[in-house]
Amino acid sequence: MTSAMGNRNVKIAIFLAGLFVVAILPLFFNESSGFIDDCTLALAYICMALGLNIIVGFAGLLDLGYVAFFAIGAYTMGWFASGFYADADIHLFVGEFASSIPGIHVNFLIVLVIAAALTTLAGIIIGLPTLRLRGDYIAIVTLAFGEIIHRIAINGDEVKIAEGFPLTNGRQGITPVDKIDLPFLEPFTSLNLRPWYWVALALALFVLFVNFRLRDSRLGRAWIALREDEVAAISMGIPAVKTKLLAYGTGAAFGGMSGAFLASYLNTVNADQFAFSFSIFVLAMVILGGLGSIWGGGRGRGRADVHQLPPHPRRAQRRAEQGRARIRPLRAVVRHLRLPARDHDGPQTRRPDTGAAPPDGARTGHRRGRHRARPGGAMTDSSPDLILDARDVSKVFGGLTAVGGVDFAIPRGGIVSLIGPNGAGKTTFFNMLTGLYKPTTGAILFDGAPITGGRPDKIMARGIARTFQNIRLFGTMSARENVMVGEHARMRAGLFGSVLRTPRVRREERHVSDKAAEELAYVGLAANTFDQLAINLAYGDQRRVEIARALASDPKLLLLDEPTAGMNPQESDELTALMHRLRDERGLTILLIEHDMKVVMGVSEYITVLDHGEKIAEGLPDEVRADNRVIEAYLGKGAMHE
Amino acid sequence: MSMLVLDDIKTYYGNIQALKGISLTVEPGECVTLIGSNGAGKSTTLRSISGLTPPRTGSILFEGQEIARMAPQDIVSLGISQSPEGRRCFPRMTVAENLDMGAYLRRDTDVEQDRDRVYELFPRLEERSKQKAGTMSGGEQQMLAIGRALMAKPKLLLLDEPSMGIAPILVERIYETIAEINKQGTTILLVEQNANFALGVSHRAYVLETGKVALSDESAKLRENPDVQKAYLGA
Repeated sequence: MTSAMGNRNVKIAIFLAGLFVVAILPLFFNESSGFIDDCTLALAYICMALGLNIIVGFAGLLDLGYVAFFAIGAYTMGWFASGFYADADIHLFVGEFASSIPGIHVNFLIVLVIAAALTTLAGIIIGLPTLRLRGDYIAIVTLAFGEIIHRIAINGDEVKIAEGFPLTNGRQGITPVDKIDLPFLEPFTSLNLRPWYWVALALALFVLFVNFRLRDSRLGRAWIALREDEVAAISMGIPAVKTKLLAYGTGAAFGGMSGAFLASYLNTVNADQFAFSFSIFVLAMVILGGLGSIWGGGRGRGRADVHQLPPHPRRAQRRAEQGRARIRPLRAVVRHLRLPARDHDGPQTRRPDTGAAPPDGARTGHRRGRHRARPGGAMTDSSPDLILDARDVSKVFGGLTAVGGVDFAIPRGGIVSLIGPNGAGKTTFFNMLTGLYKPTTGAILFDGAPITGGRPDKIMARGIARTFQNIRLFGTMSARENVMVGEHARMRAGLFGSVLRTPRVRREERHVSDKAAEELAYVGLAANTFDQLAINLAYGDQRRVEIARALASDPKLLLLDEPTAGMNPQESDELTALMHRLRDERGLTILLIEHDMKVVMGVSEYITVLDHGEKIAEGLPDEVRADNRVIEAYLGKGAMHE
Repeated sequence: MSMLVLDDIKTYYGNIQALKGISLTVEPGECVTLIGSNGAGKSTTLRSISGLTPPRTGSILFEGQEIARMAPQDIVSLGISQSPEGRRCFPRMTVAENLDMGAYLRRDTDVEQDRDRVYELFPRLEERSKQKAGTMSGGEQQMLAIGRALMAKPKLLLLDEPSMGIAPILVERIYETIAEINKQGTTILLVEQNANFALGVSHRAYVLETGKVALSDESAKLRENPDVQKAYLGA
């Protein structure tokens, strides 16, 4: 611990020393030297790259139209700080020179805030419909958005907001834009570039700071979780659209601020600045610097600018040695460039959930199902000691019935199992309980209230947590962070709280981190592995982390999908004991899918057997074990003596 | 000459050392199994052999040739194929296409015949041959991963937990199949949590603990070993 602290102090010292050098750098060059000019531009681009890093790197939303935010920010500066609207006569906190000329002239800092607000608004407007889509669609829609803004900029001189107030000045550009003129400081000029450099540096440091603060916050974890595995993330209670929107809006704001600064610095806002290639330029900075890596934005700037030096051989070597962990972030990009991968744990449709329209026939079936349930009063007379009551639930994919009309109930505080041959529909059934699939027919009551077809994050918040058959941890996060994601829904820290790291947020972080460690210890993970990357853990340990992550939300009902897969008999025994403890110590109800008969028979109070989507048997373990249909379809003769 | 010789290999994930010097041999025609707890390094040993996570130091000889620094695809072309842990099927390809991918490097003409053999083994795969792999259940994907590895017609087959997520009735089938494939001349290195089955089908076994070989013997003898029984057989 002390060495880690020492390490941290060394890092801070190096950072401060570096910062000092960067800060005094302009003093070694001529006031108007080209070098300072380059550095100032570089810093402004770094701001944008760090903003885009939040969108692409953290949240995994491939934005190909980031230039739009640059444009909106720059035009904000053009509108509010130039002589462009000469008919207006507004002067707000500006210096003598700007006060003396007509037009709208607002103080630089105020315009910076307006630019951030307007770009965030634009981000939300474009994001709200788009962010429901996935990877490749987001890329195309944002690309179009960037292009549309570009076209509007070019032709905006024809668009009159009011007489004498065109939207843009087209290719001629809005020139000149006011230079920075702040109280107590000399007005900035193009003869002395040092003040510009320092303002750009301050902006870059601000964005850097925000990046760092957000990376290790509730929100940062949620973004990375969505990037790593959206299905798992929403199952952990993260509202996908809202969370992505926050990333998009925040990233957009930095693009806007940076754009506003550049407009003032370059003294012009010209439609030709906002071509598609600029989006690619900023994206290249982010990717070459390493997605999601904060320092990368800055490093990438160097790279993109030096016309893409090949990666240093030693760096490539190091990457290879570090194995999967380091390479992983790149996969976030790759993932965007292909159709969303669907596997059995996930939904079949593009959208993470429920909005997927079932086939026509299925839809009518759905209505019929509800209809049937109501007249009989089935929705209301649910016995109070049932924590879960699913009636006549089925799921049809295309023409294939994965689950057909299954009734299933779980008594509160019970441990029940769902078994059956591979492909019998067990996981599909799980997915309906957790909201990943919308049942084609039937109704599901949880704790007496209907949850049929509800959103996964909402169902999670009501108290159903799950693990996945095909482990779905967030690979680039530590075991502890994975569990902390599980607590997302119970935490309150928001965007500003996380950036400011208020005492309340700090307390919450500490509390959640401690609780995560507690849960990890509870499921039997060795303490020295808590802070290792999840993908570097052994398979069985990954399963434990998944269980801890599910427990972190303090569920009432825990769904375990083949938890002992990849565990040896001794570990399976430990897990059996853990399930008993969860029930006895925490009062949890457990639903288990499992193929290890020793575990199933050892832990279950009641067993339901599915085959081809239908219930073929149910009962006490001994009854099920002796059932001929079950032996024939599932157990085999050999399992009799287990 | 031994088919496969691992000499003191050390493999890392980042700076975490997963293998702390593993040495083992596999003779031609043998079925050898690795057992051990989670994190003991069983899967990492297989990944080191197949080149997915190459060892940092140590040597791996396959039929006398050093493969520790080779790329995975070159190792496959020498005759080693792996059914990886966690399935890793190609989700948007059909079952038949997945199987064809297993035979990607083959030049001979028996591919059809081998595919029929896989279908015979797992009739469920034939039923679903036109279905996308990603839409199948976990257990079905496991069958596909094994089938795909078999399609490479390897000299040495690396199986990582073939029984994971498989219904009991099929676990037996899979082990019968493994014995059968081995009898037909394919050398097998098997990693399995289900030590009962693994020791039943294999000739020899190595017990791994925290990245080292703790014990090795003939499988029949290990089954009688009280420590092994207690730790891995759930006795």
